[in-house]
Amino acid sequence: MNKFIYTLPALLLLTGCWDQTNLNETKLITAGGIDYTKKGKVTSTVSVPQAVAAEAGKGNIVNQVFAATGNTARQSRLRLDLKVAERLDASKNQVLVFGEETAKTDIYNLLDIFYRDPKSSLNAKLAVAKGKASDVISTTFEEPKKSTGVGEYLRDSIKSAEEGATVPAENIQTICPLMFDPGQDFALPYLESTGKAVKVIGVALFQEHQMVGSIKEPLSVIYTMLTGEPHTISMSTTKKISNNQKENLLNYVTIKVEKNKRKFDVYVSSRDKISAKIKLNVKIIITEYPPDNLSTPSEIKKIEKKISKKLTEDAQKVIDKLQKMNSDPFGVGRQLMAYHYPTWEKLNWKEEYPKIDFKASVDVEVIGHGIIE
Amino acid sequence: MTFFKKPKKLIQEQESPKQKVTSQENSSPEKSPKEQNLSLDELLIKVKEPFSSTEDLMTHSIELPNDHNKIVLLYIDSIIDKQIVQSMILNPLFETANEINFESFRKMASIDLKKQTDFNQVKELLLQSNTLIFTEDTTSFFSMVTPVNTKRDITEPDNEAIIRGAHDGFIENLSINLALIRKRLKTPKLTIKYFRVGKETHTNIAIAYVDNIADPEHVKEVEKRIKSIEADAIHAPGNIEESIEDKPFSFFPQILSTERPDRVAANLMEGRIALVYDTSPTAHLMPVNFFSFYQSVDDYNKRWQIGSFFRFIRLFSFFIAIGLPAVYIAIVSFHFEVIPFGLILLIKSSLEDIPYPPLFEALLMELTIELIREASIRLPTRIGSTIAIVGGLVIGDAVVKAGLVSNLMIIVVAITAIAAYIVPSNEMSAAVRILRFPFMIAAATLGFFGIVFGFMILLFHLCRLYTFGSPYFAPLAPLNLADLKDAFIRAPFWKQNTRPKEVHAQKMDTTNHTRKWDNS
Repeated sequence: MNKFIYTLPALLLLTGCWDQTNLNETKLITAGGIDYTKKGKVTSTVSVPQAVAAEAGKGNIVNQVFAATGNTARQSRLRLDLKVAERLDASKNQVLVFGEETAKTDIYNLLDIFYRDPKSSLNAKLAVAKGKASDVISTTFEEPKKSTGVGEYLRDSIKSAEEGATVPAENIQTICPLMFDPGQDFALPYLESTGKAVKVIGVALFQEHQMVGSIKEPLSVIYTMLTGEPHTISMSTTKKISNNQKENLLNYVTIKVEKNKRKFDVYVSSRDKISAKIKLNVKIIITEYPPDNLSTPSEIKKIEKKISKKLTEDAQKVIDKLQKMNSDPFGVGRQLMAYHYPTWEKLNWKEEYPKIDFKASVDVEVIGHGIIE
Repeated sequence: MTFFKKPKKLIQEQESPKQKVTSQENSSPEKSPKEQNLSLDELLIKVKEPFSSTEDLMTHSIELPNDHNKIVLLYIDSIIDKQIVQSMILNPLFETANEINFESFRKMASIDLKKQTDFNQVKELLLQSNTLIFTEDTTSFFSMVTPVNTKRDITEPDNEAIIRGAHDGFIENLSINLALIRKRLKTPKLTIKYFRVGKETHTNIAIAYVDNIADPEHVKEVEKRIKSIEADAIHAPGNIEESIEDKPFSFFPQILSTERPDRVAANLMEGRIALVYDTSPTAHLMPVNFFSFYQSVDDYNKRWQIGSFFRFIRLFSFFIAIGLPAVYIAIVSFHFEVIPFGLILLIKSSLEDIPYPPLFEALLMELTIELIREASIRLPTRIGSTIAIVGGLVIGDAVVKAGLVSNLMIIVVAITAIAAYIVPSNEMSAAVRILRFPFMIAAATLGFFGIVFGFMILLFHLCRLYTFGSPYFAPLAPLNLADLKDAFIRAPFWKQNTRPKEVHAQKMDTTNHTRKWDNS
């Protein structure tokens, strides 16, 4: 027994450091892009920041982009590793981008490696690139001179789009249950590389594992509001509320949503006719309205009415689009499943969804108009 | 576990056949001089025999003018104060008595003068700074304590300095040390018991406890352990501590050392037992728990919220001092995914060109800090600043510039070093500093798992540790919520109305009802 106790520390020391994965012997992937080649192979493009030795804190970071092709996502990663000096590690990956063509196929087949590896970064943002993902990853930016490269840049631009409610906040982890939920779909940010920068142009809508369409930028704010997001840091949008002003600029109002309350109901009539209704109760602050006159309550009422009407129109437009592409990100199916299960059981939701009666209405209340009178 | 049992057996074997030779029971088989009817000169030869070769044993013969009797003063020159002998023995002898004979000693009014009949005590008395007076009557002699005054001033202990509160500390003198305690506990229940340990050194120690509070079982246990000490020499309090502590192989100090009389007094009133030493300014307190080492007298002189805050800081420092280098190693060599993204590239760039594995890097720097610490203790203060320059500038800055160690490692080592010295007790601080090395190795081999493993073993050990029959990790294990009031936090004085449970005090209630005027 004694001898056994004495050998324990020896065993601890004898193991050595073989299983260490030292930080200074790894290359960190900060952004990854996945495309299918024409032959159906998988090309992974990754951005690897490389610290150039300098005074600490002023680290000069050079961004390197590598790409490799394999039969599967993992194989392409393994081949990438052969191209890079040290071991590649994706545990700090910030963004994963799919090419549009790739997104239109089954994306779970490519995401599988992320859910399987305990070290993978499940909070990485997901996005769909218009065109190829490799274009987005290998963009050489004008903007970030001192930043840490593509990964951080893309993550931050998606984040700011989330804060502006242009895109819903999703990451690898959050879409996982949605992918396998027959009653709900999801949407991801939709990016476009303009050569010297990457722009968020809206949201890409998914049906189960496949991208089925997109909603472009100003309208995507309404989309985010319809998802029931109560508020983000600056959920703002500009709307045209009249046509009769001489200067075009004066026709517009910019609002910031302070509080967004969603009432979402799914009804089933006696003849199994399904209808859904989203009612938004929105409290807004007017952040831009050159014609002014906002100090009079009657004027406020008038504007409230106009904005409500405009937003309701837009909301309906979004819903019509969604029904047309057969994507159900608001979870009408889930509601149906939860409250009207016998009906749900009977029907084929994929066929039924585009046909249901889905209405939206937005009720706006102005609670502030800035500090000028 | 035969290795641990052996010493116990040895003690038992020694105890049974032999009679214990302590100061209390001195029964040597020699015949006393009284029975042999010796003359004074013969007696003197006899009593001087054990001191055969020392030259500072002095005899001073005086022939009395009246009866021509001889009086002999016997003393050890180096440890008596001749002024006292002159003023307290010789002057009264020649001034007051008209008829000077040895009977006049009885009339002399001095509390230190004692008549002795036990000649076996001679050796002992001489060594305890007594001057012995032999007369023609060889059946008895007189003794007087005439110690030479070698006391230093009462100063604040350097290693336990506080901001507010009493600034006196123990010195290398037992009676002064006891006086400092008695000054604070003016109760007849404060009991002092003297012991003498070390067959040759005869070190004086005293046990102090409050009779109606301290657990008699504990007192008995402490007495038993001290009596069982058999050694030629007991030099430092550390010798006693190692002789009587429960688990000599533990890293943790199980007896609280302090140089502060106020701390001793407060602990005595909680039912603990103190050991006070001659020749050493350290007092020992027992039984103590882990959290006693994290208490400082300062806590009680601050507002209680602030005192509690510092308690938290100190307990927090325990984890930093033990775990921070280990966590650093585990993170950069196993789990770097836990580093926030904003930081990871900075850390990576500072680590990029370090040639050594993190464990080696950490060991190098931790050992360097220990080197600096050890050197700065030895160095005289006049060249102490050299160490600051060498340690701070050369090692801190140049090591990074040379690319041996990363910037981050320097930060980790510095925080760890500071955290280790936050502990008010030097012994606990040393224990914590040693413990970080096994943790670092565990982290380098198994990562976070190794650290968790290490803390588990540490917790097992702390929970199993008992000192003098009291659980060491109380009030956490066994959990006693009420006692947390003086462990994790420092509750206000008027809330501290029970004594810690693990001390087994006879009176649990401290009767701290100090805010009776406050009716709200």
